[in-house]
Amino acid sequence: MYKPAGLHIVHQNIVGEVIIVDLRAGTYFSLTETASFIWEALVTGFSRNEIIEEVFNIFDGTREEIEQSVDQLLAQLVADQLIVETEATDTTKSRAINMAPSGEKRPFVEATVQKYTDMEDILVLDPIHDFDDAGWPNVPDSTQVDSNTP
Amino acid sequence: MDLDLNTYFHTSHNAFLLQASKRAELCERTIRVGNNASIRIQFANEKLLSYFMPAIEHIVVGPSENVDLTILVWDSTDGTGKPLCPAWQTHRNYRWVDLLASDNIKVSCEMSPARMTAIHFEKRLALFWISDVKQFPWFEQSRPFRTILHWWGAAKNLHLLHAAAVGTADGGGALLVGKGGAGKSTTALTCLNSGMQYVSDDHCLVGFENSLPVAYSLYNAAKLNMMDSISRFPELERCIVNRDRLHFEKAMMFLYPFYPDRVARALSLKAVLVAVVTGRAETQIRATNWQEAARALIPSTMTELQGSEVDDFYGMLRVIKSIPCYRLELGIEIGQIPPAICNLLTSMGNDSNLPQPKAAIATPIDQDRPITAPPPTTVTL
Repeated sequence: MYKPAGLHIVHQNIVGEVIIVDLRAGTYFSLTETASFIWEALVTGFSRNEIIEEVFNIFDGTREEIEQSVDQLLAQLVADQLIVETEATDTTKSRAINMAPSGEKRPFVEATVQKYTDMEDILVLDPIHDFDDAGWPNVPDSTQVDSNTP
Repeated sequence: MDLDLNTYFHTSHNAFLLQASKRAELCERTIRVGNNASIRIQFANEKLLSYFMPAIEHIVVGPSENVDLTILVWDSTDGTGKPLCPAWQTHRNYRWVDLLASDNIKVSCEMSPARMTAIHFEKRLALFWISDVKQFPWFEQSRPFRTILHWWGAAKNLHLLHAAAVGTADGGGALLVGKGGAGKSTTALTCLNSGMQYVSDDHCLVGFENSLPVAYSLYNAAKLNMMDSISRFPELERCIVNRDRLHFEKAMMFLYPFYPDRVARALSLKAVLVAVVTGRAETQIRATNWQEAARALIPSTMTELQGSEVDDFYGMLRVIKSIPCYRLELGIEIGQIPPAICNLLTSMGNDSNLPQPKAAIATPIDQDRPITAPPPTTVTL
């Protein structure tokens, strides 16, 4: 089984695509539809074999290509330090996502993840600071501010 | 001193109450923000009201008993009423800023100009203290209470964006994104001049109604570089409020008094336009992908707004991914810009729930010429 690598890994489904943010590295990742499905199964607590089975039930692909795609995606998520493998087997896992096949299968497209590093500066977590008894205002003499820049 | 955020907020709130009672000049206005939220603003004196209100005059409504937020505003021109100052530890946005946050309270203290901003979500109360408005940089008057509105809006899925928004009364609107200098203000004001609806040239709130994005106006202020741009807009000269300082400040204008029927409170968004200055004569609009729009919008917004969090990132992505994205390649002939945007909005009809665009939209000068859209993956991030 796999799980997100820590609380610094956050994710949301944005209009059908999962976007993962690594708050330590400041990187973010967009997942294709198939990859998003696999990710949501993964964070719900499904094992590798269960994920393959559910993808096979939902998407129109051969078992072989689905297995290969799932394994490649899991390997990339591990390499990018977004997930870690865990030995624990959670038998009470939530079946929060709808994995029951409904009607026709969806077209299978290889599960891929795209990594973006263009917002590293703004997505890195900021520390929260403590108070002390500094007075108001307490500007170091060397601090100069350009007050004419909007 | 062992202060927690609750104590800090309470102490600062008391500083306002003391200052307000001492001067006996308390005055208030109520503004409508977003779809139907009311925010009451109480000023400790008339001077503060006259400084901050012009930018938000267009969204003033009558007094209301039930408000979603109350903002208390005071200063210390007499040397009293200063809130305590937390530790100064970070450089953020190239100013000395210290930001502290808990689940319920956020506090931001800036050094120059001296300013304290705080919000208590449970109490629906915000505090805004400045030492003296005379110490404020000129552009602050164009975007009052921006940090408070950012924090408050984020908690209500209303995203304060560094973006312009224009459109037509019946055709919907376009969100204009891009870094400073990308042409947002020029585009927005050109559209205003042409008779289109104007929501913002710099900052607006974007929320969702029926799962579709809507841009809400916050500020009717606009800024233009006097040397480069204002000569293109002679009709806007009457709106300028800082004529005596144009040699070192951008021209700042309050538009609502002169264009009350064109400053729109809200526009349903149909498209995101990434503004790019090309240097070419003509203006063109081409399909692009959400990644280019994200790169144009998110870093500039999150860098500008204090206390931005990953939820802001997700909120902006949701806006961008819910409607088609285009690159607005701005030409020198700025008269082409409004019809190009109007044509795009008209071509999209009334169904805003569209997938990513498959074809480029031509401007009036080349609308008969078929244009092949660049593949959505051509933009390298």
